Amino acid sequence: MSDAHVSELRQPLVPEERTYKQISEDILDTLEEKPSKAWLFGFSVSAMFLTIGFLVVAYQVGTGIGTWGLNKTIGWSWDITNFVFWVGIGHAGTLISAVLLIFRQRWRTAINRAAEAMTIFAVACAGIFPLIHAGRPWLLYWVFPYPNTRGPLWVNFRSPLLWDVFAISTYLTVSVAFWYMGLLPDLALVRDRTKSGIRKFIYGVLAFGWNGSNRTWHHWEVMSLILAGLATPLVLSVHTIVSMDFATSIIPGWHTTIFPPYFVAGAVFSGFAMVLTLLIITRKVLNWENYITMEHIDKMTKVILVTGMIVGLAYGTEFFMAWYSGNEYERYAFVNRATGPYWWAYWSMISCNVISPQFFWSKKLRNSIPFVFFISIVVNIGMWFERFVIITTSLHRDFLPSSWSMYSPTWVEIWTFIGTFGLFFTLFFIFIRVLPGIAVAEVKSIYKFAKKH
Amino acid sequence: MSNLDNKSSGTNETQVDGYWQDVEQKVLDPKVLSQEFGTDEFDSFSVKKSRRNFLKIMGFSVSAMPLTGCIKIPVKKALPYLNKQDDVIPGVANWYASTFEGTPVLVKTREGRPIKIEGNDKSKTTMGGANARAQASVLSLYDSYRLRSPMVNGSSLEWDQFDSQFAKAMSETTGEVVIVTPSITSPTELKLLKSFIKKYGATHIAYDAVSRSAFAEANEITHGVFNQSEYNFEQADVVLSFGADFLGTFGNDVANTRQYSKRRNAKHPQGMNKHYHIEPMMTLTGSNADYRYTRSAVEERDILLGVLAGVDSSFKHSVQSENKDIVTKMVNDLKASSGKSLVLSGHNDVNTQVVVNKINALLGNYGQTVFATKTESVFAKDADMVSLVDRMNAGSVGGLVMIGLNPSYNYFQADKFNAGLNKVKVSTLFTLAENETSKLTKFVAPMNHTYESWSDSMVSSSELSITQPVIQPLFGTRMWTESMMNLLGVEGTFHDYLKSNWSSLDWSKTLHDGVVIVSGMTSAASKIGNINSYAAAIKNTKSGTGLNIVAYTKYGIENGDMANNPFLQELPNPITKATWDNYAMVSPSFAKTNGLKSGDEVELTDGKIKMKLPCIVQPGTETNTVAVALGYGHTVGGKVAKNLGRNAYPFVSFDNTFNYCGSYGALSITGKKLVLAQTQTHHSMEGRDIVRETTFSAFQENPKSGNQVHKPKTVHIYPAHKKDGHQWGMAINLSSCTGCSACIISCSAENNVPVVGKQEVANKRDMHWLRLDRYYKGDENQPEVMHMPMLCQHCDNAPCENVCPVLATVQSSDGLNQQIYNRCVGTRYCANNCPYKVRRFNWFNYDHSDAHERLALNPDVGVRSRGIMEKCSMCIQRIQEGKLTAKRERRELADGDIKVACQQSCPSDNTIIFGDIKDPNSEISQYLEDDRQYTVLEELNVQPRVNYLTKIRNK
Repeated sequence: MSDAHVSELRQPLVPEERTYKQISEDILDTLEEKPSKAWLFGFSVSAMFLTIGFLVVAYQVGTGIGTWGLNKTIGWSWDITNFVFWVGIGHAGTLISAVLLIFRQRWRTAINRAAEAMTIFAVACAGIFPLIHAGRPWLLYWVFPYPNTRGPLWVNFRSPLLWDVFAISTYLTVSVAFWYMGLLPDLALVRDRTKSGIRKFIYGVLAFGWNGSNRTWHHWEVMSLILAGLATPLVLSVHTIVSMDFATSIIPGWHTTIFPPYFVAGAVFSGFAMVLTLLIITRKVLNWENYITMEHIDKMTKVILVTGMIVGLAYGTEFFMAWYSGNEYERYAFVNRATGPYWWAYWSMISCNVISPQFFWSKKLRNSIPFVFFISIVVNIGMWFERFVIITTSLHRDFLPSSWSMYSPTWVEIWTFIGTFGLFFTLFFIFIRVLPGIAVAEVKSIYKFAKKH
Repeated sequence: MSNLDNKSSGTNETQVDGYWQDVEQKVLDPKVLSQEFGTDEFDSFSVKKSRRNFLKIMGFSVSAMPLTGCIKIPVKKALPYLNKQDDVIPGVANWYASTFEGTPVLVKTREGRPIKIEGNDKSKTTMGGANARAQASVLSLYDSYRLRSPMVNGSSLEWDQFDSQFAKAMSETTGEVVIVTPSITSPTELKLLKSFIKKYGATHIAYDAVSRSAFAEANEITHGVFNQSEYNFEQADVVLSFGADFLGTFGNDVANTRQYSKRRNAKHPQGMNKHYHIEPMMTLTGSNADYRYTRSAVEERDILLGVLAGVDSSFKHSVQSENKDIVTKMVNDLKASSGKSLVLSGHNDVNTQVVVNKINALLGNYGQTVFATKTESVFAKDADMVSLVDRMNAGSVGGLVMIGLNPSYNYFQADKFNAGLNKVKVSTLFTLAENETSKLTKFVAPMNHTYESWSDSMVSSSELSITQPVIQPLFGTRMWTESMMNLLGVEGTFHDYLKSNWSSLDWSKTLHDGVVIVSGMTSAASKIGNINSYAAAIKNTKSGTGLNIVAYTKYGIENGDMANNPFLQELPNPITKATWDNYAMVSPSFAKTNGLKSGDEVELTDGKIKMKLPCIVQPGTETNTVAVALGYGHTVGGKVAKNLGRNAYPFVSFDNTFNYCGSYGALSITGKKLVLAQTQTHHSMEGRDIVRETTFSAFQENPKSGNQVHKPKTVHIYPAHKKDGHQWGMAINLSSCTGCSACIISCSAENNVPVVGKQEVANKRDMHWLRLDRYYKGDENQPEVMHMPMLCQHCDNAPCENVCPVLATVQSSDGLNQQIYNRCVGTRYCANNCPYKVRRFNWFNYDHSDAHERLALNPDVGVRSRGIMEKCSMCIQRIQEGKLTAKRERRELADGDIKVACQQSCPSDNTIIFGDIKDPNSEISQYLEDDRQYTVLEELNVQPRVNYLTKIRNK
């Protein structure tokens, strides 16, 4: 163990001494084994929720948006809340893999694979909502600017919803490409280790003929860097554009220039919380404590602390601006958030997002796995409430009091949301069964570097 | 038959080549109709759904299934006319003049189907206005629940069998024969009834469930005419009303609204009128008053006597101290405008009405603002009905013929009436649909709807209005008048009978115009003597202990005869904004002390009468008063009316006349929560600058008062729209809008706006394109009320347009904000971003499957499917029609050629103005120059095309 030390001050990235072969075995043996009972249980429960969610969505699409709790005043609520929530969660993956790669943060190697996978699954969950929230989802392909026979009738480039289409689809494409690129050496390793012929074939195809030559590695390194460069602006752009769905409108509580940075910080905040939630369980179940260490958890809690404070600052700024602007509608919208009929949602948001991360100032609490796990879930709840507060409380009381109304979700909306969790976890469970959950090649690269000669 | 071109007669500018003529040979040709509607289709819908029928059909279907393989399905072909009907041009509307409940109307028919009712602008009383009931009546015509064939003892039979059995029964009847009708204002029907009375030695009794008997009785005492008074609100500088809802349910509301609203115009040469209103519960009229005082029935009587004492020096009365100032102020105003004032009371109480007549007489108002006229009509006398029920119970009535009535539902002692009815040997009911009474009546004859009937009406002594049929009877029904003629052996049709009765008139022109101005109004001479006995009777009126339970008439629903009309049920009440229900209205202070909230279930108890219903906390209700609407709680009725709400008629009592506010009882809270379908639940403007208002005196000093302009600096990111051609705009005068809501139904009928039902309204998903926002200001118990029509504002910088990803909502070249239904994918972003919240989303596929109701759809407007957004289109089909007409006639489109639906039917004077804002001479352009002009939320710089004019109160 002592071999791995470079500095007395820094904990080694892989604390326990392992050979390369052992690392491969630690991470990849799970793919060769029969699924554990815990995996089977988790997968079945997720798949069950996914199935229920699917049936509920089928019912809703077949019957109409009227099966939701929306009304003439509140045209969006849980649907877009859930959309922004999932897009936000999808943020951490690219941030970890792209931004941290460029900044040469080596600790990222143990968590980037799972975080990227999570990103893709979260974006998949997010994508469901814009699709099913449309009154006529079967015509939603009209939002794509494809050549058609309808004469001058095309898409509206002034609409933030159209920008969303571009932003999200670009983000998803680049994230998938980046993720897959990273997988190539590991897929080849799985191909080489497996004894089953069919697996050899499948992973062989997926590995794109990776042969481990110097040239291959070189191309791979260059390509990773290029994709990281491409992905980095997307980290900012996606949530900036999502925030413009609100910021470019005229509804008090939506019409705010602070939204882009505020939404990006919030997205990183919730994304890291979700990564923590998932990895704390995964490292325990798959015995990966040696790779996803306390050091990783500690760093991620610090990111949560910082972004949590940015979010808190944004909340404060919004209130200040509402007062400072002298705009009566704006003022009312914010007073109504804190003291109106949805005050409980607002104060849940504040306690979860502003107060709860403050515990991470304490190193002792940062190192308590159950506590970190608890806070990571609290933050996710808080961020869901943030979107609910922004969307619903701004809409329910806008300019003309004659139209003010209230909203409550129906069972259809609740089960649709639960269904997306089913989808998310089903995909995640499949992922850790069939693909290397930790980037083996990358961990090996930092392992050697960290070793004393 | 002469075809009168309506253009030359200048009747309705918006129609294209619409001809009105005698319809019997044209549109009512049965051959044409069966081609149009396929009458067989109707019959297949008439199969009753029962288990037995289900099994029959099931059995048939299963056994027929194997055979269908061998049967060639007949090809349905749409064939063009071989000989085209002269005036039926597919795609072009025909307009016919008719009358609905005394309101002269024009009926728009398309390919033989009536689809829209509009006011008849030839009328001098209504001036082209129509109320909510008239607008909604087209759905009552197509009501599938209407009776299809005559019935004897509950079993259906053919008309000839019915006729012979009925005639036989009538000839064999012993004992008294009575014919009961509602109040009749038709001279020709009365003539026919006279023959009936002569032949059978019958007595004729008029019975109105919501009665104004006391008015006629008082007029008999004071002027010697048993008749309702007529009013001229335009001449009244000061109006004092004791709970008379003359803009709503008081009768003749269209004419009253028209005249009254003229005087709400600050620029009227005679100035603005001043309106005092005293009532225990908020009515539509009260909400328009300049000074409205919430007072209990007892205090109301006190104030009435105070006013009497004020104008009649020989009468002494000391008013309660808190009302002294009010009375002094009112008396001074009334005296200052002697001969130009008007005092009314809504109470069906003879003493009160005599005193009101006396006050008007003393003020010299007779012949100026109020007229005791004599028309050929029979008005209800409540005592007659009560005595008839007694005679029925005593068994002395042998034959009873009821026309269009439903006393088993709406007589205050329905059980007693039913018991009496069972003792009558030959009981007969002419009715539109089965009802509570028809279940107990031996002979039940389905009668034609108004729009399938001939008749005439003289609601006003100055105007005759003709009712002509506009469609062949839909359900094998017959005019009751023709059934009567059959019975009496009168030759010919009722049309001939009517025509011969008016042989002095040019019949073609009469039908074409719909109305004939007969004479001016003259008032009978007053013969009021000493008033003291009446005043003493008022003073000594006993009032019970406990809460005063008022059974009031609800706007639109009225006595409940049109309760099966979905348009009327979904019309938000102008005051409570509640739909689809009746409820107990309580005051805010009562609610506070008893911990009541809107939607709580309460139980009202008055002796044996117990009634559970939801409560609404209604500002402007007197603390000790709880009000329940009549017209609900039908136990027999169509799918809309049946079991909806509670029947409040048991709260009516009889005290020489029917008394609607004489019930005293208790209210208890059951603890249950009930669904209340209100379209508006927040009632304060929150201090926002939405309805701008001022007082008349401030306005005279500065016409811009109350209208602080804050037009923003305009900065555009995107290039401005080109403004070639016409640029449509609208102005709404908040001062003359009474909030009556007739425009809502007019809009819904014109634009095929779906009715969504109680639960969906409660879910806040009402679909009305045009709504009336109603706000309160000031003291909860005596609030000031503001009504504001709110519809798509057709913004130049429309926030909805920017956000649609697929360009489904765009600006038209003539400045309209258009919704392209086919392109809409339903993201609802536009609705979210609309600051006026006027966009309406199709949450489901709304039901248009009723084979008859479908016929009322406007073929010029698409029916929207689920998942798409819709909203006010500024009646683009009317704009298009107007433009095409002008083009075909090779002329410029003139100002006023196009009238949008809400504008056309608005009963008030010049409240909604539509036109080309680019034309400097158009009426709308004048309004835009007005000092009172503003746009709602103008600081947002969305630049609405709908303008408002500040509300002025005469204070």
